[in-house]
Amino acid sequence: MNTDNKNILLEVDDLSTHFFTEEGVVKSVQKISFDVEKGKTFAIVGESGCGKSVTALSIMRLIPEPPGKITNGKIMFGGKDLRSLAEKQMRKVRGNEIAMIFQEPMTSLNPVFTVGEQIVEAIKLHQKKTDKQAWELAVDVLDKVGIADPQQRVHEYPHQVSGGMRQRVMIAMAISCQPSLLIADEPTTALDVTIQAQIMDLLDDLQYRLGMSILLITHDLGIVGQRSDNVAVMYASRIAEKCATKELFKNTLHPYSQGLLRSRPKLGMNKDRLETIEGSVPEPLKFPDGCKFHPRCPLGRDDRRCQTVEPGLREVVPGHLVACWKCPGYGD
Amino acid sequence: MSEVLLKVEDLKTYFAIKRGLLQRTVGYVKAVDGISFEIVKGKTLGLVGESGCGKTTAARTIAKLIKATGGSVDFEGGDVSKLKGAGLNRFRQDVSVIFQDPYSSLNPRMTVGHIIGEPIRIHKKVKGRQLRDMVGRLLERVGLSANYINRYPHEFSGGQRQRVGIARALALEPKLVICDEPVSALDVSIQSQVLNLLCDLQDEFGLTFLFIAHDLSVVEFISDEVAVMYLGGIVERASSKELYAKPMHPYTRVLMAAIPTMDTSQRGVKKALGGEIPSPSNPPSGCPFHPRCPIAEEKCSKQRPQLEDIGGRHFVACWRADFMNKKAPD
Repeated sequence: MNTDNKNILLEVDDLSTHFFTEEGVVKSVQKISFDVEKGKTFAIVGESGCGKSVTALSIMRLIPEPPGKITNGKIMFGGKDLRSLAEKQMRKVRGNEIAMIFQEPMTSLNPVFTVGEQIVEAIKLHQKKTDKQAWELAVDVLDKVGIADPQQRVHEYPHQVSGGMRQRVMIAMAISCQPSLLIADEPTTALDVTIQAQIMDLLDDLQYRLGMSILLITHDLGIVGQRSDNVAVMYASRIAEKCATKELFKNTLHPYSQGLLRSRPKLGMNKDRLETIEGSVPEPLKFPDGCKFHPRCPLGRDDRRCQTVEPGLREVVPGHLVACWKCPGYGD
Repeated sequence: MSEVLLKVEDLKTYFAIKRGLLQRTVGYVKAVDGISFEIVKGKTLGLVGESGCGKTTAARTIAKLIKATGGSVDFEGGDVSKLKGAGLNRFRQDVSVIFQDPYSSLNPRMTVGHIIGEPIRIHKKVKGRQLRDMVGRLLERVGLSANYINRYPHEFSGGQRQRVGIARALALEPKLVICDEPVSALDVSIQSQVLNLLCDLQDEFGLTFLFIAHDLSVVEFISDEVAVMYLGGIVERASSKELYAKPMHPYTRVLMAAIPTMDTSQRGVKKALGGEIPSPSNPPSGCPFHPRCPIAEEKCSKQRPQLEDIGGRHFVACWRADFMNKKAPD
């Protein structure tokens, strides 16, 4: 990873977020660290329940408290320690310097307000603008995200626009205050493939024009491959592997990442069977001892050390970190 | 000669749009608008398309869950629309469905034993110990323990629930299984397990699949033949190998290009096709794809192209198929 601090916008260091429930403590995020560089896209990839969304919500300080709590770690954003900010100051960051878009664009828009009213609300909250200026800006950002007839669309209600358009509206709202970091939590999962490609193209384009950083959260390795610069693979609330995206696909080190890559059907592969990862993702209250992946791991299933001692992230190749006892060069 | 199990001809399903106090019909949503295909016994036809293209409506019409507006469905040589009484009963046993969402398609108040056993109890009049044994065997066949028989759906993970759904679909030893997006709600590592299970079951029981999905790579993996749907019609149909090697319809190519590949050299390369899927209640004139098509010409907006065989049982509905044929895919 780049250690030059000037290029780093967001630095997450040793972050842990736990939920204290009646059934026990759910350790959703455990000791994860990563940096998002300026103008670059960092992807967090993993399956449902791995803690990727909780990571995003922790950065935004949107974890419902109680039962949730950030128990450890530092979140440095542009020189500010987000964990130590008072809620009032945090509100100035949220939606202004860091914006977020969500998976389900229908439920994240308010059905009783027009698209324009919702964008104007966000603008007026953070910027000193008159009503007229704010409405002009709303039309302008809708135009920027590729919505035809923004003058008309601004007066429509969410139910009047299609799924892809709604996600564009969400993006318009997110960029209306020119954030330096955009957190995109599964932004295209609910959309059709051709619309997914449009939205991802739009995000690429906006990143280029506005110079913002993107923290992209997804379960789709295909999207990671085409749309990110650096990547962390999460499994059972920890980072299993972290490196430059190109490196991940060229030199996959963790057995879980390897399994994910192999189990995906690819066009034209002419195979009778798919390779699989056996078993299923463990429940957070029933995490196994040792390496959390060992019960499903072809290499570590019967290894005493994998069963008992949890491996930490280590740099095995320059810039390529992995948490696996079985990885060549990992050491003892 | 291979035996055709299901033959669909010019199938149409329209939904009336009703307005006003008297609920007068003011128009129709042409969800399925004249599709034709056949499935040979023991094979899989993949039906692929984006949301709203009519693939699920087509499946439901074939399963006789929705009444067809026109056209015919022949199952084992008999017209499905004429089925009544015992014949319809038989048809219900021969055709089963696996649904997309394993969370909403299992009744949360019923145990797994009840869910899987219900169709057997109703159709085969089996009960008691014999029924339990049958359900136990089904559970084991889909990779679950027979001890799970008294558990409720909420005690299972998504992948396990989908296995329960599969066991239920197999309970009556059907001939045709309609799989409606069976893996799209599942995690990547679980998807491949379920796809492999479906392949194994097909080999073991000689099942015929109508496999519906929006993900072309999943469909290509599991299918022998693939039909691509757009706005209620089939735009291209070919064997899955042929379709992948030589996609002829511009929409098929767009769908293929839109699949995020893990090719990192493509970072920053534009992928998207403009425009959105038009509403089936107000479809464009001529070829339904022409407003988004990169190579559309005047004729495309006037006349709707029909599916034509361009050789080797590769069907395509495109006025510009010749042009696409010359321009080989890269």
